[in-house]
Amino acid sequence: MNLLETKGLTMHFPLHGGFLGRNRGFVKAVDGVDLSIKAGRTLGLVGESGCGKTTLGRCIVRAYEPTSGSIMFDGVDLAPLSEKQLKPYRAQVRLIFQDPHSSLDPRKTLRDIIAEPLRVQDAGSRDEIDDKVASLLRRVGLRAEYAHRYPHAFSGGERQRVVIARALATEPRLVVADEAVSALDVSVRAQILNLLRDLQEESGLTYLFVSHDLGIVEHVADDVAVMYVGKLVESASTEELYSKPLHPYTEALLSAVPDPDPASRGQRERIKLLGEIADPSKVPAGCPFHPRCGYAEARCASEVPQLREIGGRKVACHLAEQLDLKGVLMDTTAP
Amino acid sequence: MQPLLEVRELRTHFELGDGVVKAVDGVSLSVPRGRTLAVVGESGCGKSVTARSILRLVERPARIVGGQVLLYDDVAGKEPLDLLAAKDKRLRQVRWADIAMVFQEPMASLSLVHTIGDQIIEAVRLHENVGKQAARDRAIEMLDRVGIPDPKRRVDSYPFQLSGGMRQRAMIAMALSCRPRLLIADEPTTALDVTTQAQILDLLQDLQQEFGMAIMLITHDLGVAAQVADEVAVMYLGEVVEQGPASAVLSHPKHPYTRALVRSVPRLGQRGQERLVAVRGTVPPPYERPSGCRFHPRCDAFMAGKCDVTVPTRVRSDEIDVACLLYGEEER
Repeated sequence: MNLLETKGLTMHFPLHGGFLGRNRGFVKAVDGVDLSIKAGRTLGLVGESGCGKTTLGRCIVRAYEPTSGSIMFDGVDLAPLSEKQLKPYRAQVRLIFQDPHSSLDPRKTLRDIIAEPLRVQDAGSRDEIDDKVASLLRRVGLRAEYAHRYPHAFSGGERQRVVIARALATEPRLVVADEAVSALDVSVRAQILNLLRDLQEESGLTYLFVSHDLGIVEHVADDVAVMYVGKLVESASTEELYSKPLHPYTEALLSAVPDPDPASRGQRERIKLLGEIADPSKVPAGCPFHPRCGYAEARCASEVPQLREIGGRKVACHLAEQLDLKGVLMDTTAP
Repeated sequence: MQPLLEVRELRTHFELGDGVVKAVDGVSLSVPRGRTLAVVGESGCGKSVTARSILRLVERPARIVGGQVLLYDDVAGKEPLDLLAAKDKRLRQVRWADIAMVFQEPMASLSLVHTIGDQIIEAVRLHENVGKQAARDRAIEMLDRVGIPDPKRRVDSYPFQLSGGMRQRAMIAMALSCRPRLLIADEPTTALDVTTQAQILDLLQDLQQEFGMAIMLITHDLGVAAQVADEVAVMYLGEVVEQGPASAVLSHPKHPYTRALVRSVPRLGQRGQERLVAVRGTVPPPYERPSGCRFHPRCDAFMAGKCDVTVPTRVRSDEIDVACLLYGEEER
């Protein structure tokens, strides 16, 4: 069952400038995205900077009011709801930010930081909240005595644990993790990824895991969606997408990931993309990826490819059936 | 073979009000000629400070308090130049002409009010006796070489008119304009997207083949190191704990820290591994350096009464130089 389903989700930001600041067009940050996440699963959302993945995450937690489209969460459309109507859902859909150094108020103790969402939701007396904070700290692997310390006393990894504890305070069902481990060092990153996995197993959490790092997404996600300039270009199960991508952009992204095994050097063919990512205020006609695509044909420059279903997966490419694209090697012989 | 650059027992300390932070505390490493050395480690391990100390680009409160940085001449048998002891004037000649540097954030190291062409021309004319036009031609040639489209027009662009990837290309063009023997690149692709990162890494490798320079690549990304480095040096808390050929260090690491680091990175195409193996605990605070081996509080192979007492010295095991008490018992 899908816990979350977006249909045609769109977020356009007006561009002001020039004489009297009149409107000079729109940045189409998110442009008609259909996405679904099954309850208790993790959907990885990948793409390069400026592709709209963060904006999409923020629309889903309703930090932004989307321009159009729907966000069905457990049967209710969150997109048109007012702030007051949203209140019960604010507890159920939570966001984990990227940078644990700027997302924690330095003047508050961990107790106050973690209790903040509980206070908003009127979740009980002082003592109850204290107990709750203590158990949350333990759940994320910190000591309950830390409740009265301030964030500056903690390392990056520990702060990210606090951010996670705060997100979990209201017992959410969906957590949007926006580059949640990108600012952390590798050794600490593995600890946090393991923690997120344990929490999912314990309480059946559903994650939207937004990341630019395809290596990490492969590790954590059950399904993956790839975005390019505001649009979804491909979605599939992680295994299918990594072993056999259907969209040329996915193929190029996978081929660009540096493999930490030096033995793989020179074995994988790297696809050289032409030019740079398109400007979301001046999206190319036709397929937005066509100016950089090595397989593009004449119609790619004029016809916009729709996201369509092929063998249970989704892809937005005219040539998906004809192309034989390369994924990253799956070592099935390894134990 | 004689290396191009040898760092011996380098110490750079930050003298702060609360005490001394020993950011670099006895770093020894060598950069082979015409090849790529990747220096890897987590934030705070001192890799960037090491890079900056080589060119004496550290400012107060940081101070280089000891060690040698030896730059060897192309002619064998000639005395190497100790950059830490060299006069300022001599050092200025070495910068750009012998050793150039590229930083993570090109916007912070490019001037905002000069065109990229003017900045390259200035660097070239400071070090070589060439005319304005010749220097400008060189700038255009270099911009073309690093893959900036329409270099004749782009030479008159300001940095803000270029994208992140293009700025990094311009930075590399500038660094290589005087044909240095060593390029120090400090996290040159960290701020870039994967596809752009792949382009820049390819470019660096092509340029290395063409100009034959050595590259010292500072990175936190083991994947990047694995794809471009010939040699890898691993740093932890201000020291090099392991240096050796990239294939050996990253595939069969000796030091428990490197082993843990390698295991904590998910590998593409190997799904199904349930949990990542994380390094225990966290990097200790800067004022509290552990006794003995600095990694011992987090080490899985910790030997009580040894690792917390004895500071390991470097020994050679197979092709790798490693500073760990597990190795080379007989030498001690």
